[in-house]
Amino acid sequence: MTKTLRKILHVEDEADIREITKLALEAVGGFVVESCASGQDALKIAPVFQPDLMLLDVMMPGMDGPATLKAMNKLSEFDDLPVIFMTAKIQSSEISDYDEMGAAGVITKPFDPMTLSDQIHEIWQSSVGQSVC
Amino acid sequence: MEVSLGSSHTELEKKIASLRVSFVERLVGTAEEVSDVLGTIMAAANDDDGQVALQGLNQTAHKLAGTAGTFGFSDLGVAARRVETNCTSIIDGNEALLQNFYDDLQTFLSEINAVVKSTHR
Repeated sequence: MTKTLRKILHVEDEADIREITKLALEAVGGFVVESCASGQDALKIAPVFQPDLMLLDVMMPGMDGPATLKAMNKLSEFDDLPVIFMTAKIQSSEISDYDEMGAAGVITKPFDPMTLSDQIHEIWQSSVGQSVC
Repeated sequence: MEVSLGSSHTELEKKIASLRVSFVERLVGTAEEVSDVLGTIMAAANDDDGQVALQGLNQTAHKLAGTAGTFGFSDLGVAARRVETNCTSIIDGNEALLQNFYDDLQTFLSEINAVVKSTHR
C-alpha cells in the first residue's frame, strides 16, 4: 500500500516557530500538523496522533532532538518513523552525524515559511520514496 | 485535495505579518533585559549572579537566533547566534571569550534596537 505523507508531528520548544511552522505546513502544504513543545510531549502525543513524519528541533532544553528520536525509536510502532531535524546553519560533518542517527533529512533555520512544505516534500520523496497528500 | 495556493499564501502572509508584529513588540522587553544583564555579566561572569545572568542570556539568544531570521530579521538572527555560541562556551569555562563578549552583546543590542526602530517608523 502506498504510504502518503499527511500528518506531521512538529516538536519545537519556541512558540513562534511552532506557530509559523503549523501555519505554513497547513496553509501551503495541506498537511495536518500537531505541535509539541518538548520531546516528552511528543512521546505522549505520537501514539494518539499517529504521524507519518516527525519534524524535530535539535536544540531543546531537557530532552533534545537526538534524545527524542532515540526514545521515539524505542516505541515499536515508531521505530521507522521518518524524522527531519531542524537546526541552525550547520557544517556538512554535522549533517552526516544526523544521517547516522537515522534522520531522513535536515532543514536549516531560519527557514522560509513559503517553501518549507516543498523542502519536506523533497526529503519525503527522496527518503521514503512515496507520495505526498 | 486541491488547495487554492493564491489565497492560502495571502492568508499565510497576513498571519505571519501579525506574528511578526508581536515578535517585534516583545523585542522591546528583550532589549531591556539584555541591557540589565550586560553589566552583571561583564562585572562578574564567574560568580553565581553572573552565571545565572549568562544562563538567561543564553536562552534569550537561542530563541532569537531561531526566530529572527524566519521573520526576515537575518542580521539580528546572526548576532543572536553569535551571542548564543559564545555564551555556551563561556558557561562551559572558556573565559578567554569574555574579552570580546562585550562587543558581541553590544552588537546584539544594536540589532535588537534596529529592528524595533525600523518597524516603528
